Amino acid sequence: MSKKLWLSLVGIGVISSGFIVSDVAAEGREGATEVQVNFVRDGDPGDPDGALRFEQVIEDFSFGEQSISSSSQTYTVTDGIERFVEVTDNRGTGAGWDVQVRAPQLASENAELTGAELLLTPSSISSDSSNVSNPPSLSGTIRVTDAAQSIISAGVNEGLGTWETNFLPTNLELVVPPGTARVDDYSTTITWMLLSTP
Amino acid sequence: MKYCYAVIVSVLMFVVYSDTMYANEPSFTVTPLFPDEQIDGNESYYELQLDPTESTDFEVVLHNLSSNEVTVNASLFPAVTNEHFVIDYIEAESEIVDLIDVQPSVTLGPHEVKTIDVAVQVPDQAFDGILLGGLYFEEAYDENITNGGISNEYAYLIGLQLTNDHEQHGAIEPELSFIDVEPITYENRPRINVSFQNDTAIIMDDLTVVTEIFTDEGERIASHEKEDGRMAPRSAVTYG
Repeated sequence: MSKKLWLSLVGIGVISSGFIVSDVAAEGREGATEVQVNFVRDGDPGDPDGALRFEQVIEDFSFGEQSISSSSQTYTVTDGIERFVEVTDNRGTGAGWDVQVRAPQLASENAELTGAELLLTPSSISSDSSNVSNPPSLSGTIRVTDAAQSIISAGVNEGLGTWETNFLPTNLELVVPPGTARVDDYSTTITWMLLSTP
Repeated sequence: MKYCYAVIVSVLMFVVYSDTMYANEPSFTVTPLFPDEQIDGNESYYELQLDPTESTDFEVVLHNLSSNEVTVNASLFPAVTNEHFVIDYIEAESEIVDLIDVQPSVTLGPHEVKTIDVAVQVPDQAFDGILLGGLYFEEAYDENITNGGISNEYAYLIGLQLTNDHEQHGAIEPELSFIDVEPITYENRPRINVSFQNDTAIIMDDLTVVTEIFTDEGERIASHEKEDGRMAPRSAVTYG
């Protein structure tokens, strides 16, 4: 159904530009030259090149082994590696998109790390220097919770093409208040969601 | 001797590179195909107009980008409003859940393209405004393997909005009603929870929520302002 529509669009593009060329050539008249180009989505509907998609989601990270403290402590990622989230929007609709994050509280097999704050701060966003689309906007620091929050947001006519958001190691933080940590291994899973919604 | 060094270097680089590739590249994409009931001009999410008792169905295309077998789970989640005033799509009770039937999972061979079937039935009775949900797609993992620390997973969500009359819902005036204020304990600390609801079947945008707490004597002891909030149609919010 949709594929048929795209094929007919291509057909119109070819026919009309062919007509313009022959018109100008035959009569050789002066005046405005009409140039036409029609863009269609790449390939079949299932072709990933025409989709809204993640190119990459940040790698797993760790806050290492820490000693229990009687004051609030802030930890940053131990490996010191910069991480990236990369989104491509080649749908050509200009409708925008949203990346949201959620994660349950860090927990061990025995208990939650009550009061701990997992903080993400997107550092900057960039695209190929020739990309003329408006950049998506980044959130400030997010305390990741069970309830989703937007971290990268492309409004109408923003975020077309491929956009890479980076997270410096110092922008992935864990704040642990005193009185919550036990001698145990705590972990959680962040879900990165790419949304196309009203 | 030089030749020998070159070989060793290239092998090391390869190991580092392939490890990175494995860790963070999503393995599938999702592309919506739209049925005739789709509102013209929207190719980004499902926006379907159907008369009462009508039904339709459509397919969503999944493409496995990897050279491994991938199982994708699909669900329909209703739109709710969470404590951050974000429209959130989560497992919850809602009318739209009973109206939409989603094929729950599909397994794709290496680089295979397959579709997931979705069937939509609107209520027998005419309804105002919109019903809003989202089709959620995530990779099914064998098990949550955690090596400690923070794991990262990804998912795709495509909105699914149903209406009887697309022209009509622009005319609906948003209305809020107050539900409750109550003191609670959250993370072992005292907190005041406030709840209210969007009584209308439309999305509320650009909400600024100002919350102020006063003593009996009228002294303001705390205040908080939230900008750019949104609320899902006919949803309640509780925040503290």
